[in-house]
Amino acid sequence: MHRGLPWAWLFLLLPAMLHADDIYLKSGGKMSGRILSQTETLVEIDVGVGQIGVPLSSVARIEKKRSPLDDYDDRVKALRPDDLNGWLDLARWASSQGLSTQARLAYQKVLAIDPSNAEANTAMGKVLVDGRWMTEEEGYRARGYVQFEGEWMTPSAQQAILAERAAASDAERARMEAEGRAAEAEARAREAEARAQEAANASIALPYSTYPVYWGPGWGPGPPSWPTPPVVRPQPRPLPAPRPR
Amino acid sequence: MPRTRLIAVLLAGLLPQLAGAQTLDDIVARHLAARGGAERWQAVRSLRMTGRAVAGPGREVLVSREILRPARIRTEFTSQGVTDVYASDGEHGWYASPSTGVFDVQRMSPEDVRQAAEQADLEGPFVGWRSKGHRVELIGKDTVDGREAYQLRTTLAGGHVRVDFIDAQTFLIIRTDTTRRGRGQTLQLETTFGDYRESGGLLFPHSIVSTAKGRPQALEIVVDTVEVNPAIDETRFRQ
Repeated sequence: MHRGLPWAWLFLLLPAMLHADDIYLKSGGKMSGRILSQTETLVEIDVGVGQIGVPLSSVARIEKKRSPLDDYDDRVKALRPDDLNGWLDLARWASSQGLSTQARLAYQKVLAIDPSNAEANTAMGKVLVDGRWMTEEEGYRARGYVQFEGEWMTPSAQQAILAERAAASDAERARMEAEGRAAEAEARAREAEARAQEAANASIALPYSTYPVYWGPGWGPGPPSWPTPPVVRPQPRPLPAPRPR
Repeated sequence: MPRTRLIAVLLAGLLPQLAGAQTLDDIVARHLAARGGAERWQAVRSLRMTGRAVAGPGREVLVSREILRPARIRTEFTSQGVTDVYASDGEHGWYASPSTGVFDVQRMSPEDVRQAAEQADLEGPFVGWRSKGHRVELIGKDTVDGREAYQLRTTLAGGHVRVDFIDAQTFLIIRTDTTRRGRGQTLQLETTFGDYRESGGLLFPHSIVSTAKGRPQALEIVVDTVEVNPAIDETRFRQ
């Protein structure tokens, strides 16, 4: 018997193992890809950029259908490595299907054939500065932008944020100091009232000699953290642990 | 009234028109007419749009938006086959974001619900702005990308302020400026509108680009399809 025969069996099994399905969530969300496994509590799906574990308690229904990932793979198999236009077409198609990871893979093939291809470089996040393709970050730096709390901006925009925060901090400090002064005045009034009361009760109690000084809360705390800007492109998270039954 | 005084009064009334000046009501009326007319907009019960949100080179997601009167809106973002949903029925909002591991429904913040309600005003603030409780002022004229534009400041009934630039030739909105406060900073947002196309007798921008002042990044929404008055089940907006 031919030694490679067991492998042939495996390939026959593969399409059955890699279901191309849509998972509809009770919340209204949806996930399309290839289901890798399913237990009584969890279904694992490959969405082409990684695996996501979905608790079955969140699933409304699963529909079996062909995934765009399958179409992508079929098209890859049919392409020659040096077919520039073929890879470009595939990249555009993947992008139109929302398969940005697959689009990037196809654009990488384009760049392997034509490193100066403008469409592929742009799609890979490169920018052309002074006739040279560079990363987005290098491009921002070259154009004079600075990175501040995860965002790229002009130095004047950064200064404006810092000035706004300093002004807000000054206003907060002024408010706190005013509160402190008001509390102090109130304390003095209470003290005067107490003294008057003590004078009235001199025959039965000794006056307090000192009172604590109220300094007020001071500057006050700043925000615990400055969040980074939102990521527009969703990034699937690693597989969560299955829920205990 | 003596004849000379009558002529003077009539001339004074005609003067703005003779000088090419436009009143606020003229500009709003011509703007609404350019978009298809206020009555046609008021007859729209629902909208469905699909397209792409491009946050930069290689960063693209599919988007769809459904709006149903009154004030109901549902937006979906799809990347790598994973669809996140954000919806509001005008009073309550909810979302599910499986792309970030949030599989079950979560409540939206009151601020997000307020912003969703603003977005759900499918005809825009200028249709019946007085009855909606908005305040609109004509600030003057400015130039946007080499085009002359009327500058209108609108204080929405909820207090939010926007400045719209209406093209002096086409009377379509070409830019809207707003201010948003968040993450310890005030952001001045500029949104430019272009590639207007007709659907159901109404004009819709098919390119919407948002930038923040002083930032190099831009978020572009490329609208691929627009359906006017599609059948949309009201339950899609409920939690």
